[in-house]
Amino acid sequence: MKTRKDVLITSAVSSLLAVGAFTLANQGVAQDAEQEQERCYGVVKAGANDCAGPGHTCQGQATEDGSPQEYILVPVGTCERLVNGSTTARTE
Amino acid sequence: MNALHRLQRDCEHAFRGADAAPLLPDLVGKAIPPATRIEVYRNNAREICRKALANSCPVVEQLVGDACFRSLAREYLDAHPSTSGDLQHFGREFPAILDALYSGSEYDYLGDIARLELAIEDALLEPEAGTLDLDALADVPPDRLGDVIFTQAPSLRLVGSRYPLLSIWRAHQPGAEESVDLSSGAEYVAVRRVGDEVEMRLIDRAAFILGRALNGGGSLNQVWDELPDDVREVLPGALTALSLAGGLSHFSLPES
Repeated sequence: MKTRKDVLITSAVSSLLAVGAFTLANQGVAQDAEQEQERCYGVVKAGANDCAGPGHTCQGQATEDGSPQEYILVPVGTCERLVNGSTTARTE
Repeated sequence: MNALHRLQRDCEHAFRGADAAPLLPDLVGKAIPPATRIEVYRNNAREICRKALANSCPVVEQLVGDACFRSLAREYLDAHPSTSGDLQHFGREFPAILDALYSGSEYDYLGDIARLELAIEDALLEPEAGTLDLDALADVPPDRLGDVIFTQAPSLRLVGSRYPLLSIWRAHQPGAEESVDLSSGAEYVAVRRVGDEVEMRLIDRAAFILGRALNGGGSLNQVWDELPDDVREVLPGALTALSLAGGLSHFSLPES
C-alpha cells in the first residue's frame, strides 16, 4: 500500500521530469531558431553587415547602404519579404 | 628538537608577534637592525594575509570600512594563522569570527555575507557539473524512486540567512544603486560555477533544506526522514527548484 511518502517522492520526481523536459524543449527551440537563419543580401546598412564582403573581411565593415554583396543573417523566410532582399549575392 | 625545527618555530613565533629575541642571533647582516627587519617581515606577512582575506570577502570589507577590516584581519590572523602556503582557503573560519563579534548587533548579517563570498570563491575552484540524465530517470520503476540518490553539482554551495543576503551582496557590486531593506526577510542562495562565471539564484527555504539534506548522499527515502514536515509537503516543488538552480548533476540507483 502506498504511503504519503511514496506519493510525494513520486510526485517530486515526476515534477522534475516534467519541468526538465519543458526546459530542454525550450532550449531546443532556441537552438533551432539559431540554425534557421539565412543570408539576406542587398538590405544591409553601411557598417551593419554580419560577415566578410567585397574588399573587407570583417563584420561591420560594409561601406555603403544596400550593397547586393553584403548580407545580414535573418530568420529563414524573412529575406524575400524585404525590399531588395535576396538570399544570394548579386553582382552590381 | 633539531636545529631546523627550532628555527622554524622561532620564525613563526616572531612573525606572529611574539618575542623575536630567540631568532635575532640567527640573522646575519647589520645594515638594518635585526629586530626592525623582523618587524618588516611581520608587517608584510600580515598585509599579505589581509589582502587574501579582502580578496575573498570584498563586500565585507566595503561594509565595515578599511580601518575596521584591517583590525578584523589582524584579529583573524592571530586566531587562525595560515597553515598552508596556499592562501585560497585562508578565510574559511572568518564567518565564525564575524558571528562571534557581531551577533545580535546591527551588523548581525556580516558572517552570512562572508559565507556567501567564500562560497563564490569555492564554487569557482570546483569542476563543471554534468547534466542530469532525465531519460534515464524516467526509466526508473515507480516503486524504486525512493531509492534514487541525487548527486549535487560539485560547485554547488547553498547559503542561507535570515537577512536578504543576495540583495545585500548585489547592492555592493560596482555600479549598483539600489538600497536594501534589512528587514525584508530571509534569502537562500544556490551558488554554482557555470563556465568561468559564478551563477547565484535565489531558492526558497524548502529547496535550501532539501539541498542540504541531499548533500549527505542519502536516497530520497533516507532524505525524507531528515526533512521537517513543512518541507515534505512541498517536496515536488523543492526538488524542481533545486534542479532548476543547477543543483542536481547526476543520479544513481543502487541495485535492489
